[in-house]
Parts: sequence; C-alpha cells; structure tokens
Amino acid sequence: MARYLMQRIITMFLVAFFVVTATFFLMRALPGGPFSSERNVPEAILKNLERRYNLDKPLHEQYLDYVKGVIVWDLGPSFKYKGLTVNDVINRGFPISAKLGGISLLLSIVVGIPLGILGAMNHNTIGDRAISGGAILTAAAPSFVIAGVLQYVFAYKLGWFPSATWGGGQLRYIVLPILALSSYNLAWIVKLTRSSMLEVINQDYVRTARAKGLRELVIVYRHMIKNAMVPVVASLAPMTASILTGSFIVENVFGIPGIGREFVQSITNRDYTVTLGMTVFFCLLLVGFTLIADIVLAFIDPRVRLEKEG
Amino acid sequence: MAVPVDQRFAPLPDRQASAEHISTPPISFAADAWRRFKANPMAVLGLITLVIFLIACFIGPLLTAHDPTTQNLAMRDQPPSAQHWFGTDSHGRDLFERTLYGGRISLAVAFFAGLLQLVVGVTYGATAGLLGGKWDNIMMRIVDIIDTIPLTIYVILLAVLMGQGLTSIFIAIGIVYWTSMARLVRAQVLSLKEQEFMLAARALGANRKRLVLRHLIPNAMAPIVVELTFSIPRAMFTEAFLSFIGLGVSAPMASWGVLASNGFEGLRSYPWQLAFPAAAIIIVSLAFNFIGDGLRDALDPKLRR
Repeated sequence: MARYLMQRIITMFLVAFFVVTATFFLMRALPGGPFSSERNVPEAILKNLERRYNLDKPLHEQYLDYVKGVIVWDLGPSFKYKGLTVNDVINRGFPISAKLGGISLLLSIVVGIPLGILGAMNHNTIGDRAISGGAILTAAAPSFVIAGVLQYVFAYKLGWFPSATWGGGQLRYIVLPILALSSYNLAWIVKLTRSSMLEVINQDYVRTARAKGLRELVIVYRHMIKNAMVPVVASLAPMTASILTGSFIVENVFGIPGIGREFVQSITNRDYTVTLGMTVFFCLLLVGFTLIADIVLAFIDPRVRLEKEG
Repeated sequence: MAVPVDQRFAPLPDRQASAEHISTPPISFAADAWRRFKANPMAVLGLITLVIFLIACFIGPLLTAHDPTTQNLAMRDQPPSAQHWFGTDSHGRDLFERTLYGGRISLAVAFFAGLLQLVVGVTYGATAGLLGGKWDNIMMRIVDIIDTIPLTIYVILLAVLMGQGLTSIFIAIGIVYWTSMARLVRAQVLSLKEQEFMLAARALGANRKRLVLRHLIPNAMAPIVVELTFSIPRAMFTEAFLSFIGLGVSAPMASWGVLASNGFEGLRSYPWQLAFPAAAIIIVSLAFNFIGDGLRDALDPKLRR
C-alpha cells in the first residue's frame, strides 16, 4: 500500500512539473505579444511594458521565475488588467465554480447510480430501455446544446427560471446551470452503473448468495452494488475533469462569473499569464483529484493495489 | 443354402472423400462481419443515416439554389419556410445551405483528426508493445502523464498557439487525442505477440517488418476500427467545443459548431438557428456510436455464431 501510494504521488509530481513546463513554453511560443492589440505603442513604452512583466529576461530565467512562483503559489500579474493578479482571478471565480461543480457532481451521483441500478435490475424492460436510451441521447449532445435547450424551454418559454443572469447564486439562478453541467456525467454514471451491475449479476458469488437464501434486497445491496461501484469510483477523477471543461461552456452561456468563464475570456483577451496560470491551477486541481480517487480506489478494491505493486 | 462369403462382406462405397467435403461455401471474415453487422438494426440505421448525411453535405449543395455566403439583409432571421428550409441567420444567409456546408467542415475535421490520431496512436502503441520492458514502461508512463489532464485543455492551448483555422483544429485534435488508441493498440500487441501463430511465423523466418505488417496489424485491426468510429464523433465534439469558446474556423466558413455558437446569440427569438446545427451534431454522433457498437459485435470473433 505504501509503495503504491509513493508511486502515485511521484507520478502526480511528474504530471504537475510537465504541465507547468509545457504550458510555459506553449504560451511563450504564441504569435502576437500581449500588447499587440494596443496599436502604435511607441518602442520605449513597449520596452517598459515588457520589463514590467519580465518579458525582457532570457527565456530560462523567465521559466525559473515562473516555477518559483508556482511553488509559492504566486502566479503573477494579469497582462490585461492593471493591479489584477492571476491569484485574484482564481480567488474570486473558484468558490462559485466549486459550488456549482460540487453540487453537480453530487447530483450526478445521487441520481445516476439509482437510475443505473434500476435499469440493470429490470434489464430489457421498457423502463430499462427508457433509462439507457435517455442516457445515450444525453451523452450524444454537446453541453452547449443541453444548456441551450434548458435555457430556451425553462427560461424563455416557461419562464420558470431567470435566464443568463447570475444574481448572486441564489437557488433559482443556479438550477439550470447545474442541470446543464451535470447532464453528461449523469448520463455517464447511469451507463457505467448499469453495465457494471449487469456484469456483476451473473457472478458466482451472487448465485451463492441466492443459494444461501438471502433476501433480494441484501443481495443487491451488499453483494452487487458494492462490487459494481468500483468502476464508478474509478471514474470520479475524469468526471471532475469533465465538469471543469463543461464549466467553460456552461458558465459562458449562463453568465456565471466563475473560473470557466474567466479562462475563456483570458483566451479571447490574450491575457497570457491568466491563461497560463489558470491552466496550471486546473491541472494541479485535477492531479489532486486523481490522487484522491486513486487512494480511495486502492482502499475499496484490493485488486488495484495488488496489481500495481506486483 | 449357404450364402457365398464374398457377397455378405461387400465393401461399402468409399466415403473418405465426401467426409472431408465442406457443404457450405466458405465465408470470408469480411463477409461474415458484414452479415452480422446487417443483423443489428441500430447499426444499419446508423450507417444509412451517415451515408445520407455524407451525400447531403458533399453532393447536396451542388443541387440547391442558395449560396451559403450570400448575405441578404432583407431576409434576416427568417423562420423555416418553403424557400429557406432551415430559415435564415442574422445575416440573411440560408441556414439549410450553411448547415450542409458546415457538415463538410465538421465531418472533414472529424475524419482527418481521426486519421491523424489513428496514425500517431497505432504507431506509438505498437512501438511500446513491441519493444516491451523498460521502453514500454517509459512510453506508457508518458501516456499516463498526458492523460491526467483533460485533453481539451491541451487542444485549447494548441489552438491558441497555432491560431484560428481549420488546419490547426485538426492538427490540435489529432496530436492530442491519440492516447486511448495507443493504449488499445499496445494491449493488443502485447497479447498477440505471445500467441502461437506469431511464434510459428518467427520460426518460419519471418522478419520484423513482415511480422508487424502481415500478422500483428491485421489481427489488431478490428478493435482499432471500432475505436476509430468512437473517436470520430469525439473529434467532432471537440471541434464544436472549440468553435463555441471562440477558437473555431473563421468566417465566412462555418462548421456545425460555429453555426450552433452563432445560433446561441439569438436563441430567445430564433431558436431554429441553434436547433438545426445542434440536431445535425447529435444525429451524426449517435450514428457513429451505433455503427461502432455494431462493428464491435460484428468484428469480434468470439461472438461469432
């Protein structure tokens, strides 16, 4: 177990290092400097600006400065807005996005797992067909389509919810964004739970449990669900990732001032340091989640730690 | 009366030859796979849908009256009608026509990105699997590292780096989205190279090139093709995603993603501007998924009946 954990932690450090390095050089290779949008800037001013943002130093020094900055968690100033740092952008956007993402993840799990189990327990009935058909259809629609449909039907036509305003994050403002953000993960959890339940249903130990005369509820709860949950837990990290990329779309559509919208805006604004800093932030966040998911998985599934160690 | 011995023991007709005769005609792997593919109604439906979309997008525009880039400001934001089947957009352009042309770009991006990813993924995975040992370990750890971060973020960075445009989109998707293909091919190669027919081929003196081209790749082909059918809609999704956050193909060209993104601006009043391109994306991605499911069952020799 300890060896498995060490291995995971080292890999995660490598990932973090790789990401910091790759994003740094990618962004430095960009055509068109950050100040190219401001026309006719005199040479001297341009020089001053570049000095202000350390762009005049040799590349390796810039890189070392950047790595140092990441370690002490200072991601530098914004190129675009005076007096604003990347940390500010993340600090003001992250609580909002984290709230939305957390609720959305919870919703996907709480609704998705029972639906998947229901589907598998009633395999090939109309109910099962409806559940898996709905899941397939939802997963085939890009998140902006879902967001659009939700907004059109519930905000414009029925008028149940306000449209594209944030309003401080009260419940009626966040219902639609959360639904849009959850749709893909929800569909995925339903499909995953359903198929892994179907796999478990025919296992020998389930037959043994039946032969022992256990009640159906006990069989389902203690023998099937526990084992069927392993792939679902394993997919928690990718689901966090999909919530993150989903937030790029959903936060833009619904006008939510979270990190997803800030990220997209920084790309449009060519706000280098913000794009770069947020990428690093996202990646470290995901690295953390992956590590947590790996540890949880190793605890609940002995096969994982044995296989990885052996 | 005694029967003569030699009449009682008349030899039976020689059945040696007929016992070896195969009465049903032999069936090739491809024909067998096709037979099983046809038996899956959803897969056939998917294939028919895809063919219809391909014909409509690549031949259709030649037959219709409108031009996708002609602006007619007097006919802005018209709802669907007999003249404009899908209505018009905010510049008075015929949306049916633009959806057909947009399909060309979306499908082309998807196919090229899929092909590129096929080349990179198969090469990488096969190399790792064949080398084995230390190199395999290093190469797969690299894949692990790449995979921890959502591929979409790399694509965004690459698309920002290379600038807007069709080529940069499919290169960005193609050089990032190969990791699942690489994993799959590596797993295939690892399991195939231990099998008896590989040993036999090596014993017969086949060189490395022949082993890979004649024995490994054809045997790994089925899962590769299946993975490709699933990766093409993924590429299409990514293209739509990029278009939506403003990194898509630039005007006057338009993919389905760009059309949907434009349609979003007028969603309240002109919902059809989002509905048609969005429906196109959904239908094609469903079609690919059904084809993929059908192919997976049809190409799997273990499911052969």
